[in-house]
Amino acid sequence: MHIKCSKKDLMNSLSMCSMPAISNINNNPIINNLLFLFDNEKLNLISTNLEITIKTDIKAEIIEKGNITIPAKKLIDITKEADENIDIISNENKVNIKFGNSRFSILGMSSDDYPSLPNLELKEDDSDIIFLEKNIFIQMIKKTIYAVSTDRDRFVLNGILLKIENKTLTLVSTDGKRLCVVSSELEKETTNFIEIIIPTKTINELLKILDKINSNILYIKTNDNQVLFKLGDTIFISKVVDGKFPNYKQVIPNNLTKKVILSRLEFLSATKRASIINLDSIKYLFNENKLIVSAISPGVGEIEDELKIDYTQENFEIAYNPRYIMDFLESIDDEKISLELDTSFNPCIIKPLKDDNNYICVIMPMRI
Amino acid sequence: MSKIKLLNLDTIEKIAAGEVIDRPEACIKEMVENSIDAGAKNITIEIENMGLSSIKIIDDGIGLDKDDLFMATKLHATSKISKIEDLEKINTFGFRGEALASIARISNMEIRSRVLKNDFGYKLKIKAGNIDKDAEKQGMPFGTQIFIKDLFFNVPARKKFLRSKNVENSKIIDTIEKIAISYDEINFILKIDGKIKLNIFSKEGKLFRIKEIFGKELGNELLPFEFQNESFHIFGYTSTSEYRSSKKNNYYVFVNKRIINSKIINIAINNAYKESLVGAFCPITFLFLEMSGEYFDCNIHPRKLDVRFMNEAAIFSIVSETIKNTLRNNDIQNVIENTVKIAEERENNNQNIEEIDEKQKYITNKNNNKNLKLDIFSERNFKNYKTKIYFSNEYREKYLKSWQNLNAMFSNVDLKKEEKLKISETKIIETKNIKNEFLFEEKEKKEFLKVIGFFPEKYILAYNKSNDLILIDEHAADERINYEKLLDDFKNQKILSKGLLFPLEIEMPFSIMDKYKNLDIYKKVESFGYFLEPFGKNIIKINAVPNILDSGKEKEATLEILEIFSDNINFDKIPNVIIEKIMMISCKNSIKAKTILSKEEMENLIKKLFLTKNPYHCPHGRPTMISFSQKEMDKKFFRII
Repeated sequence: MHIKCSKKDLMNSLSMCSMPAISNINNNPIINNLLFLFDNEKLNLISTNLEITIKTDIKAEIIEKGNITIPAKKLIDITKEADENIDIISNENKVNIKFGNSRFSILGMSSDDYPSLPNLELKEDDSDIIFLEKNIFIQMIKKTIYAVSTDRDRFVLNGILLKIENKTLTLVSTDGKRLCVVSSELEKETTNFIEIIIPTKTINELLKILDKINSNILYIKTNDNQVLFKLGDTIFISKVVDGKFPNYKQVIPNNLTKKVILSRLEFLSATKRASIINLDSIKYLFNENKLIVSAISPGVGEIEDELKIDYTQENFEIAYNPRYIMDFLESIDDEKISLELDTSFNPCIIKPLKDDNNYICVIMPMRI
Repeated sequence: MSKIKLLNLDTIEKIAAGEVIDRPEACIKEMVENSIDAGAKNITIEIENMGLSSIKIIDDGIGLDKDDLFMATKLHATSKISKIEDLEKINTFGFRGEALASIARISNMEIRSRVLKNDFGYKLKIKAGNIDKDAEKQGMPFGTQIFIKDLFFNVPARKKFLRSKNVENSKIIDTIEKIAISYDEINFILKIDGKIKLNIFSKEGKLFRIKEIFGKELGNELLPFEFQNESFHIFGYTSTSEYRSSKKNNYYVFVNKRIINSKIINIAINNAYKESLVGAFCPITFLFLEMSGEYFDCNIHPRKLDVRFMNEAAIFSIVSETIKNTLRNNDIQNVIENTVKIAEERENNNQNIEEIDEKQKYITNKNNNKNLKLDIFSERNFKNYKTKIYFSNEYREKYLKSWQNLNAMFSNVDLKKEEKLKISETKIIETKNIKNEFLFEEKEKKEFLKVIGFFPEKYILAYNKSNDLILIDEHAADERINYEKLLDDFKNQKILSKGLLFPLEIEMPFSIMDKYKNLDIYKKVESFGYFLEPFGKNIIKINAVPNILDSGKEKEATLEILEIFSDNINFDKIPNVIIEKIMMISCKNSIKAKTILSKEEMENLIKKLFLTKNPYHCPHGRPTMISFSQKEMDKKFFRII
């Protein structure tokens, strides 16, 4: 193989693709290498850690075809040092990298030893493929990822549920104390019913890559144990969590008896102030046309805050973990939100007022 | 012919014998206990070849008449009880009338016995249960002599399961030692294969016996403890927190002088040492319990090793608390000496102190708890401790209150179902007095701790009034302070509880679920932040758990709290999962080792440390401070020899 490319182009591709190869130490050293693969007359750069696989292409002048794997970390460090065009020439397992007056010769490994890869093909007009605007998807993730559980014992909750039904894409996350459900209409109807859990780590890496690419349409394809995202020329494949997500619809309460409409910013800042005193539990007392937010912490002190609201039902007290309330309020930028309640130990629904059930958050109160 | 046949008498007797006599050690134990029941003052035991060839037991007890000699060898023949009701009042070892007869079935035995009024004794031979027709006259000193030969000769199965000679011999030695501790008025001589292994003759009390058997070194590590009320009397000796042994459950427990194994007492002792010993180390304890026979049952097993108490919860709490207090008092004494002197001085100034008390109370109120900010290390206060008596008084009140609570708690505990234990009127002899005295001193004593400086990188250097050098581990000290604060917070506050969106379900075995049928238990755990409900036949649904709990631990913690509340035994009623979590938080919140502290910070730390319940150990059991006495140092510099 012999290619010639600019530092900028190579660096771009490397930063897009090298994450799986450099993220962790693996007992199979070839995992820490990047695969340069000629396919369909294009030079592809592939890296995998067996969980996540990323494929992207490089803009390069191809002088001689061939496949090789090169240690990712070393290649990145070398590329950083270069200041102009770079020549990469492989001779069996030896890789010569040249720029200016410098010549590196590092040991690569044969591409034949590289682990077998999942099917990286995606035809954009297939019937089981959905697509949506990149920014909409990013927004949906940001509205759910904060509620993902970090408890390793309940691994099915360590990810976001991605569900496609008819024309609706739904993302769900929960940590056992709160639940976020966000959904969006798709342009194209799919016949398949899909329910997969995408691991948190995958989501975080995906967000980074989505940010770097300019293309606007994101394609998503799934099968039983994999999910594939395609944006521009980059393909991102991840294994999914093997398990069944709890039946989330069952915990979304209906027939809630009390409804309050609140200004998001007022509600958020009152909660924030109270959380200075107590990080675990804040009391919300709904009186006629006013909401009293208070917190007490023995040995620290107390706070009381009063908001004017439209509320005429019976007086009512409930306590929440302020983190849960704040997480939700900070994930949106609407002006008004609606809060639906029942009793002081039943879950409530909190959602943006305008948004028609496209985004809801169910929160369990603290018992007092 | 039917498959089910009646066993012949010989087989039945051999099986029964196997139940009691499973090894030579058991045989010797039974015989020695018989001698003790007979009022012997000197008992000699001689064995050969682990007791298989020959066992001789020679005592100077009341002896047996000719007629009794014949009766003794029959199964279920006993002089100790005559009807089942007598069992409750039993104070002899034996009562089942099995031992001698059982041994006679599986050996060749010769019994010689002479009662005091006769000039001669009788000799009776029994061969594998066949008793000679007549007893011969025999000249001998009074008492009983039993010669057992060829033990297990007709029970080859028993013989096969014996362990090595060393193991069997050490079991025998161990048993005789235990009996000798319990019966400190009897002399014991044990000869194994012609050599004297034990010759126990001290008569000065149990501690001397223990020293005689286990060596003086251990004897000096032991602390006496005692607790008494109308129903029972507990006393004994237990090792200090400096004693380190890796032998687990090294506990010698005697109920009315009888050696027993009691799981509940073992747990109670372990519980007492929980905060005073680091991880793998174990204490040694000698515990003597005296109580009326109606409060316990020792007729569970033919060997009478197991005992069942009427009220395990009361026994548990009393043993655990008594030992815990003893340990703490010892720690106080160890670190800061001079207690007696100060106590005497205070005694003399008693009246003045009362006056000062009043004044100080006034000042205290006026200053509104600012008293804690007083510079307790200043020279003036250092000398004139009397002006600060109000500290101690405050402390004494607090302390007395806690004892009252303890008493009140015991008084609610039913020892016997109908009859309430009147422990509230208990004289907590000695323990209470000693303790009170120490605690009274405690507050003053810490004021005698003067900070010298900071020893890089982890220790505070200080000295007390008697010029002992004291090193305090800053991290351990801070950890203890934080731990108690958090624990108090947890106990005193309304416990926050977090609701679960997806209620968890625990499936229980039916046998265990039975324990949790009572709905009261679910009400009780609510105040600890658990909202549970039984759900179906064998499922418990968890709706909410304490906020402090890490997610993933819900099931474990729930099972633990249910266990605690159904057994009524744990003192603190806080599940271990939560205590561990509190320990972890307190460890993380504490100042790290290698933090450099200013003098004020060190003084403040010491002040706070001595306000805790157990200032001498961190929650994990490591000591927070160690001391070097002036004497020790003088010796090392050869100032004194």
